[in-house]
Amino acid sequence: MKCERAKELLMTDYADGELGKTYEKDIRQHIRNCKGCEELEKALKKTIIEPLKDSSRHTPPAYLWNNIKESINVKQAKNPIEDMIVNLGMLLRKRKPAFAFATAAAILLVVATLIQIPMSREKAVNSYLNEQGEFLNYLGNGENGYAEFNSEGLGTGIEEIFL
Amino acid sequence: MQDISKDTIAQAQMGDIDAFEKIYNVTSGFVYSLSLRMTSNKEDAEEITQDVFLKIHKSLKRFEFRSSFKTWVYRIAVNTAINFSRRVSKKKADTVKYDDTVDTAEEKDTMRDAHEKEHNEKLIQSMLGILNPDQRLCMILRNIEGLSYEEIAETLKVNINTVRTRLKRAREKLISHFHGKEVICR
Repeated sequence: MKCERAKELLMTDYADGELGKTYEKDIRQHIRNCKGCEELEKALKKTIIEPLKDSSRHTPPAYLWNNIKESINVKQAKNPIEDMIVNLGMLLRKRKPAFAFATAAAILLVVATLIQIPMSREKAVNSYLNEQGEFLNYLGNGENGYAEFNSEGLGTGIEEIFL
Repeated sequence: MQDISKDTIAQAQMGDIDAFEKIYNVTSGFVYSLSLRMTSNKEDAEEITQDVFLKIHKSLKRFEFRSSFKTWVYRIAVNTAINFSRRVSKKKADTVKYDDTVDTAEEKDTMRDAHEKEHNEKLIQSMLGILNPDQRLCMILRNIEGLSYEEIAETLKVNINTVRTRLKRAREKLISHFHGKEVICR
């Protein structure tokens, strides 16, 4: 392994334990034979890796939670409607399959209704036309229809006036 | 960071403040430590921590369990801290304050241990102060918080090789600063 490559790995994957076992073995072997890389490894460990490893975890002051809690309460009191909308949205998202089914059912219902409206109109028109046709037939039938009507003797037949 | 149960997250999503407090108790150490290391200033760290938890509370309802909750919190904390750090570093030089930021567990330590810890903390802050915000963040996440390269890449939403490069440059800078350039170039 070349020094340049070894140094690159020493400062990254090797130092962080992210290197595979084979590469790790190669690097160790290289370090044993290369004074410069050996020195770099020591410096890295002593100056960077170990001090950072020993660092303590800091805890926030107790009053910070109270400040956060207060800010949340103030915000919620200011926008109760927004909060309600967000909660509702979350509920709908949570019940996704049921909500999707309900939406699909509603869409089908709307489509079916929209198809039904022109069909029922067509039926009404057809029935009106049939009725009118029957009536015209009735009028057109001389003996049974119009003539019979005239024979009632109301004296309003147009023929009676002009003929 | 300790794991948080799905139930606790779900309760907090529904507005349960006690559940949210549980989340705060588990994650605030990470958020505050990260903020403190990024800014080297107690007041700034408190401001960032408060901001992070208000953001978490606001967006918690949109969290859908598709990614890890821990990574989600890391991402919010990291973005808030780095934005703050970039903004502030333009305005003023960092001020290091350690006196009252050390962990409470320290009370149990012997005076010598406490002294050593304080010395180490000063060393860490001076080391991190040499680095730019991106390098500093990678070093904190890797060497202090112990995140893997993959976790860091996921948290920062960058390529894993970008993480490698940032860490390499950070370490080169530190080695050069403490031991001279010859250690790297030899």
